Amino acid sequence: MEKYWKIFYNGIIPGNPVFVLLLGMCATLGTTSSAMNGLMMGVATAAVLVCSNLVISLIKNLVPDKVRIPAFIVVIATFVTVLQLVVNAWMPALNASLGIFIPLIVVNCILLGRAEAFASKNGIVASLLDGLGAGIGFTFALVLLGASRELLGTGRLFGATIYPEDYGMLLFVLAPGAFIALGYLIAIVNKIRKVS
Amino acid sequence: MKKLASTLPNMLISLGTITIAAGALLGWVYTVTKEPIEQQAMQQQVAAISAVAPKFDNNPETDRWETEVNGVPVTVYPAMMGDRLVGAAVKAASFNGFAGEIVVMCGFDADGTVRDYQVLSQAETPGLGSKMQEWFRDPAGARSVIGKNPASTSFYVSKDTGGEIDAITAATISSRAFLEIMRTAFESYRQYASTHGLDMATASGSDANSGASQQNKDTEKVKEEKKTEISDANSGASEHHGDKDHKEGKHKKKKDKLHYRESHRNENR
Repeated sequence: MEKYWKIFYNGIIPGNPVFVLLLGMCATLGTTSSAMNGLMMGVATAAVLVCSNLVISLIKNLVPDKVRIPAFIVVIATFVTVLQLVVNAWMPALNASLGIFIPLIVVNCILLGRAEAFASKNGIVASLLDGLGAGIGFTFALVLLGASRELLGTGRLFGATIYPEDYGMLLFVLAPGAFIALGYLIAIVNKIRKVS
Repeated sequence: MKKLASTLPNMLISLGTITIAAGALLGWVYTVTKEPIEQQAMQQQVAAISAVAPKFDNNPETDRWETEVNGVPVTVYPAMMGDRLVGAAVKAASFNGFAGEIVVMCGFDADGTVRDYQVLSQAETPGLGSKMQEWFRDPAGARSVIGKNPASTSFYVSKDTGGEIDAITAATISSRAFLEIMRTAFESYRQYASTHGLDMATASGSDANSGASQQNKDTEKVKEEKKTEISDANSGASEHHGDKDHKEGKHKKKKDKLHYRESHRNENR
């Protein structure tokens, strides 16, 4: 039991995809202009991650080593396309706010990273938990980054006004602010990890 | 189970099976989601049309009229009551913004007075150009386009010569593109009315304007002045169809209006 908890927990703090592994920066920087966007992107990625980890651990013995990367990418791309179609059909609000970033989940390194490093070597339950942990870790990081950018840039948090927008630093909503905020967050998380 | 060895037949079979399975799954999901996706797009379209256009009893979607202005497709969705034209929703776009395409659904009353608008898609700078959905309906200063008629009001940013609409602070390029879309939409609406033998001036402009002034009571004074101007301009346009007279009258009015706005602004301060 403890082993499974460790696998699950690893993705959240010790091996956080964004703050520690620095994977999936494109989606991280691009979608976190608000906390809500970050949350939705995180959940979408987590869903694909859990599904692809599950399927890849199921088929790991049927895939010869030399073709494993294309095979994994096909699996991941399939799930992402399914997700995109479903979002398009039944979640128009999500589609409007994430748009192009949903298909870009395919090239998110976390997915192939977890598939290659974990799911292709471990059992179904472990892979499922690993995907869930990494997905939650990714979502956590995106929400944290999105919330700090939204708060600093527009004075809002999840759309609720905290202080007047006129005092916000617009820079944080724009691309350069994403890099600055991410840098500080990584520094803070590193500090916390060293202390504990 | 042992892992399959990397021989050519193994690789072919394995990768082939995976891609075929993936293709089958995608095909199934596609057929399931096809209809909802189309409905979703349709619903959004209809919602946008009825949000900006006056009340209608026809189907603007089937009555739509497509044209092209400067290489950009424009769609006019006419709003009819019986066989009388009461206004239209016009979908127009521009690539002259700061980033990518801006698509706006513009709603007009019969005489071309802007009723409402909805920005359907844009990729302008967040916090600056992206404010256009709220900015151009704000009654403060000369920001609002609602209740103004492009025939009598100059739909250019006030920074440009003769412009009578205030641009978004720090987003003049986005504002210019937005107003360009408004002008394109208005021109297309006028074209539609003339090619279909429908009279734009039938529905009284005063009706529409009083409705608008109820919305923004603060600017009632401004609106009232506009009202008279609009009816002037309309009668001028319908009588002459000549540009010269129309322009001359417009010029005069513009001067008066500029003067008026100056004083109005000072009051605010």
